[in-house]
Amino acid sequence: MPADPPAAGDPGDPGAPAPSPARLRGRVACERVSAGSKSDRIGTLLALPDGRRVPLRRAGGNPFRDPELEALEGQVLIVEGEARASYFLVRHYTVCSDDDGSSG
Amino acid sequence: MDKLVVIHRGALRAKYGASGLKKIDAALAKLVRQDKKRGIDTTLVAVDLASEMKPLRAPVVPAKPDARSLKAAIDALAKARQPHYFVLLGGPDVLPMVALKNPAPSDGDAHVPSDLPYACEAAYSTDPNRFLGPTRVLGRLPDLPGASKPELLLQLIKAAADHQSRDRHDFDTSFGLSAEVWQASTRQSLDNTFGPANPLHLSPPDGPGWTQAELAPRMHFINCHGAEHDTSYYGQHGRDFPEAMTSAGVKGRITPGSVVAAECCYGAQVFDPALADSGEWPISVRYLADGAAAFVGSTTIAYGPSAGNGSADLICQFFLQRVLTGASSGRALLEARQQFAGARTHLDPVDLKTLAQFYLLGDPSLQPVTFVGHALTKTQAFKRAFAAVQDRGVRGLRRERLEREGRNLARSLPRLKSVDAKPAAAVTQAVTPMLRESGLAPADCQRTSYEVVGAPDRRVVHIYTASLPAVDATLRPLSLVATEQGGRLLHVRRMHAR
Repeated sequence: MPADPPAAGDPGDPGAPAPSPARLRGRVACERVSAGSKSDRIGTLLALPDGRRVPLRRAGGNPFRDPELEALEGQVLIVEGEARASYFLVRHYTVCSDDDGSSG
Repeated sequence: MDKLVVIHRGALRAKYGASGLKKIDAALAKLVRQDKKRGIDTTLVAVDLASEMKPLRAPVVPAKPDARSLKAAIDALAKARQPHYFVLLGGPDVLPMVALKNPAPSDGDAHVPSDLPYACEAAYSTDPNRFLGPTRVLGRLPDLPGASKPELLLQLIKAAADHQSRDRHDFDTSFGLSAEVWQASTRQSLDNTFGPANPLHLSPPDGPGWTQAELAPRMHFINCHGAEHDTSYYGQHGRDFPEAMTSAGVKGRITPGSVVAAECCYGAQVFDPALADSGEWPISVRYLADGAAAFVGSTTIAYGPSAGNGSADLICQFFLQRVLTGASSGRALLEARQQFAGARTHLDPVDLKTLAQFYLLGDPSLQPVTFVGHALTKTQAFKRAFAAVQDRGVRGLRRERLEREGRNLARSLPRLKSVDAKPAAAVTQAVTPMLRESGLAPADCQRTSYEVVGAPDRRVVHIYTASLPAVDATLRPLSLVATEQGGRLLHVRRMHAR
């Protein structure tokens, strides 16, 4: 049996997103995502004030079509959850009124 | 050497502790004994131990493994030992995948985690263009990222040790599952692979509850939607995306020795179950835990054409076709990769991603279907003559051929280079009405262009994708891939809106 080296600690995976609690504010939009691929669909995104568009996925919701999120199109939300590699996992959201200071 | 199992003992010990590693050692010892009975000489190599790597003139992988170091180690081991099979032991948090740059534009994947570079002789790079010519038979026996108990890995090693090839007739039936909107494409894939008599389940209306009898066939072909960190596959009818298969629904219903090809986006992504809403295992891992011998699928967003077969359809069916001829699962994937790449003058960005993203979960030396040899192989004289080497000599000849094929592909397939080149007027004139007729508004399309380096004249591939909904939603959104050469439109294909 070979002698083992010291334990590696957390070996990690550079490709695996670690859950990181986060909070975003922006306006909900429904847009085409993953165009031309097998995941091509109209997805729900959050348009942030800095111009980024972050795909949203609601915990427990269907990742391809979530009527609950779609119904919020055009509204300003504060979403709380986890920023992951290709989407934001929404665990909680709050609908804001347009005069809350959001640029959406 | 026949089979080399790549182990990172430090990473395994960090996950499972010394006692867990001891159990893994015991399971691997049994695998080595069982392989010997099958005529396979198996060696375990701890890539993080200098005592094992230095005699082979191979670099030691550091305590915290990274893809660059692992690639260098595997390349050195290939040179030193020339194994017929490479087994990567563990999931991506034990032996990392190479994070390749995503050649497909704007599809949401920042990179493409890939095992393809480990199957190629080219040195480490994150450029997928460097890995067009795979030569090595390689697969991964995964565990679950974030796991603290080694039971799954022990189970998979034991299943590999206990594996027995089966008669071709045991694979006569298949389980085919397709999103309803892709049924024509999937039907064609099934016909090409299994013949027209095999049934095709459509979602909707079928699934996600499947009986053991429905899942009993040993060949599974799945063409559904999949999502990142998701333990379900999804069907589609219009804008309805119902669950077609779930990890929990597969549990306890898979016939041992089954072989699976799943075209789904993220269909073989191995992730920490804590990242999934359901807390269940990825479907691919569940299949293996239930006794599947091999699972080929994608780590990321996958592609298919607008009609017929292409990209993911092809690499999946090539793999299953090779398995049915009696190839080991690892050789089947290598031959599928070579067939996929070799059938083209150049790989466009979508095909480049396809080649990189599909990989094998399972021990690549397992041979699901018994190979039927010629009559002479059944004679006593033949068996006596090859008793000592068994299949090793012929396997070596096959590897020689596959290496030659891979090297030829690596040498001859041209690379893609991103360019900021406007399409020629004649191309724009031809493509614009195609975009309109495909339901895309040309003004809303983004274009990305690549030069095919070394191609005759000046060949440029333009990809048009829309960021807005299709003009007519019933047409389904899509992309066009147009190839220009010498200022003229050479070829165009429409990617299916899947």
